[in-house]
Amino acid sequence: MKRTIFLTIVTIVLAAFFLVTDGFADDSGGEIVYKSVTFSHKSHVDGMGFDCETCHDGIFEMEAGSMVASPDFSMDSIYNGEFCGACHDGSMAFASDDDCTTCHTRPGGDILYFKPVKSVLFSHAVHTEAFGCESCHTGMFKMEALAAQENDDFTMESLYQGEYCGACHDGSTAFASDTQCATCHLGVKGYNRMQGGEQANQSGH
Amino acid sequence: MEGHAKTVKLTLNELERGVTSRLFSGSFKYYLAVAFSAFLVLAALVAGIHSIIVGHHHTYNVNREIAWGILIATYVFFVVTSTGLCLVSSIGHVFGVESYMPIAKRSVFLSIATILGGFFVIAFEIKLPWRMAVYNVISPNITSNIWWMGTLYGAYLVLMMFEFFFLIINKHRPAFFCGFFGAIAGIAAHSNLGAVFGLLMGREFWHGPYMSIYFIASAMMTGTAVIYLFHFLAYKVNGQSLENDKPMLASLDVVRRLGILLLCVIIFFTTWKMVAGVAGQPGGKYEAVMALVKGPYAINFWVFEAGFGLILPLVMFYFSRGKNLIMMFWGSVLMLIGIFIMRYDLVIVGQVVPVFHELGVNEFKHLLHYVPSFHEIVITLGGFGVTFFLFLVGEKIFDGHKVDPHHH
Amino acid sequence: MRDKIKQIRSRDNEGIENISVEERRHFLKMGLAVTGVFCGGTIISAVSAVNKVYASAGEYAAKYPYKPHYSMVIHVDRCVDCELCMQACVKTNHVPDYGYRTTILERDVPDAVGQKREFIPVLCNQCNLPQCTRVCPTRATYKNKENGIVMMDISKCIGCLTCQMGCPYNARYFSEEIHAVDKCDFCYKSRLSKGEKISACAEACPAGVRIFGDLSDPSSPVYNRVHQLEKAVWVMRPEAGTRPNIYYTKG
Repeated sequence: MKRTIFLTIVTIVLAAFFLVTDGFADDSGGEIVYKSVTFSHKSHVDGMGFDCETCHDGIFEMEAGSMVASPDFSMDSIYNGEFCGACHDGSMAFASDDDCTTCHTRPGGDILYFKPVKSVLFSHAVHTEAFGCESCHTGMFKMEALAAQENDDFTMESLYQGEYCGACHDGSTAFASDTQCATCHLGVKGYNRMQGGEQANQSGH
Repeated sequence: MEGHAKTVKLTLNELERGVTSRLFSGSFKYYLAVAFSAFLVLAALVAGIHSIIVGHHHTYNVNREIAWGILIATYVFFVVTSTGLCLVSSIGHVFGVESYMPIAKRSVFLSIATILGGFFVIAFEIKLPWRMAVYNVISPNITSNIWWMGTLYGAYLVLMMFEFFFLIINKHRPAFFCGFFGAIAGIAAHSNLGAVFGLLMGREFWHGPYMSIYFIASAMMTGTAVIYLFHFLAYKVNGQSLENDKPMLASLDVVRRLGILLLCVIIFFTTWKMVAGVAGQPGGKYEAVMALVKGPYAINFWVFEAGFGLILPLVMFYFSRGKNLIMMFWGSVLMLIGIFIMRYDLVIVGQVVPVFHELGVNEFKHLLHYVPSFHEIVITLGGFGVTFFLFLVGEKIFDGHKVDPHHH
Repeated sequence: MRDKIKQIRSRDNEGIENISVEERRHFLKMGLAVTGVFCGGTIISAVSAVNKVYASAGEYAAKYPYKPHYSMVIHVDRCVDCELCMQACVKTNHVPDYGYRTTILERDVPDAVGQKREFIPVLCNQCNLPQCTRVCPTRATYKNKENGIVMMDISKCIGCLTCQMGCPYNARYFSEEIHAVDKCDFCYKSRLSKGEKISACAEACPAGVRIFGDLSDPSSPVYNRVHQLEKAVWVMRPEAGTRPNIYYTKG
């Protein structure tokens, strides 16, 4: 028992030591991870030769992750030249609506579609077990959560024609999209549950 | 007989004077009891009318799935009691068993008092009682057990009132007829109440002929406890000694023996009802029975139904040997508490297994839950208030339900 | 019996009052035959039993006592709980927020192979032998003599809720708005009586789950779905003996 506690403490101390020194080692902020995006200080500072003031002069706060608090931290803002978009405008650096996978290197979590019907769950975790980002994010789906549901043709009929999910869910690559409906469809109950906790479970009352 | 008949022909003034003087002869405790029961009735009236005005779903805890709550259970309790009183008392003055005679008058009066308590409660349970008065008559449904029950209990109440009236004025021939047909109406009404539950297909805990039969047997069992309890109380109210009233004691001892027999019958019924619910795990019934055996209703079942309602009264009735009146009194009290819980469980546990339980859907995987609301409890107490108020006042007005010894 | 059937066929729609006791009995027998056990237990291909009693579909179709004999077939595996049916029902029939005439139940089976969840729409089964109408003391709820829909005469309802206890499908609730028990009437008052052909929920369903029609009419979409032997068709809680008119199927 004592031994376990001792080992645990040693591990924590060592981990903390390496984390801190890693930060100091390249004298920059290390890797910033936000949802599916990884921002590398190393590649921007060492690779490009920028100094801190290039970005930390009104574009980003010094504190890691602080941009999340900003209500307009979105791809739209970036397209409008804010945040990463200040450089990623297609001239200084590659455009922010191009080469998504350069920054979006991680799976995007659960996507809960609620149009045209409530609700359909897409799990990145399940699908990235076997497939890479480019399997779907090359024309089929934008790298923007819920973008697909804004399209008028985001319907089961399109899926049957091989569009969207139907590209794989055709009965050969994956189960056909006219079977196992409730595997993806969580319904209003599933939607309420994901949005509002377990309360919605007891809809019968 | 002659002399008594003359007393009946007293002038109205004399009669009024007699009643008034008796009404003002009570002790302080008596008036306290009268005031308290009147208060219960008033509180229930307020709670009931409030519920009707603001909507029952705001004040009652019943819902779509558990639509019948404590008020139905209380109604069942009162009509069970009333039927039991009618049946046990009819053994004497209808079927001519001499030893049951002394208890007859008070028992008939009590059967009226208890059924009025039941009607009082059901009036607030039914959402639109005023429509019942109209459409029960002009749009009857003869396949409905509820319709038969309501109609027969209506007839029963009228017959019992007439019987009581004829008993007071010592007209024993018409009293016999009213008592006879009252008992028949009571049995028919009460077994129909059993059928209200028992003939519901798909409500497995209730379904079957058991309920109708059980209701009659358990009514008589309840009757014996109530007769004992109220006779004991009546002698206190009237400041008389029960120990010295030998014919009454003898009569109550026969009631005690009948009570022991019926307790055994109900223990037998209950045992087999439970075993039938467990053996083979019949769908719907098994879950309900297990809720009683070791689920959320286990305390209700083992402590109140089995302990208070059956075992303890059986032991106390037996060992009192009809002489230990205090033991008999407490045996009756425990039994009635137990029987009330029996009615409560009968009504509620019959509904806790959702109709879609076996479908295995998330909404109805678990047993449903019900606890009575404040309003429901106040109205329940009001039912007891009605019965006790009528009992207390009745003792004075009808002069302790004295039986003319010369008559027999 | 064959002669009798010919005789019946040659007649026009005769209405319920002219149906003999024997015909009724035959119909009830059929109702019993078209009855399986819901998924919770076994799925019996109920309709195959029909074959034992009647030589052909046409024969028992002639026995339906109601014209039209309204019915609904629910393709349960198509339901995705979008609840557009429920919304349409609430809007069409002014259902208060504390009640419902139809709902969708959810069943999770985590260790099932493949799909692990199913949605089960439920509503009044418009039974041929309804328990609610039997137990109602004032005939406030009754079976419509023309189309077999179980309806409410709200002015007669005393609110005893015995119908609620009698219903094996939890299809009824007490409405404080109308001061009576409320239930699904296949949109009879709000739509069918005004010339519409199907119920609001069936119209609103985007997935073809709820198929509404006339079980006695061979051209109705429900007719072929029920009167066939290839695919399992079942009803909810057949053991309650109410002979429901809501059928369930898959595919």
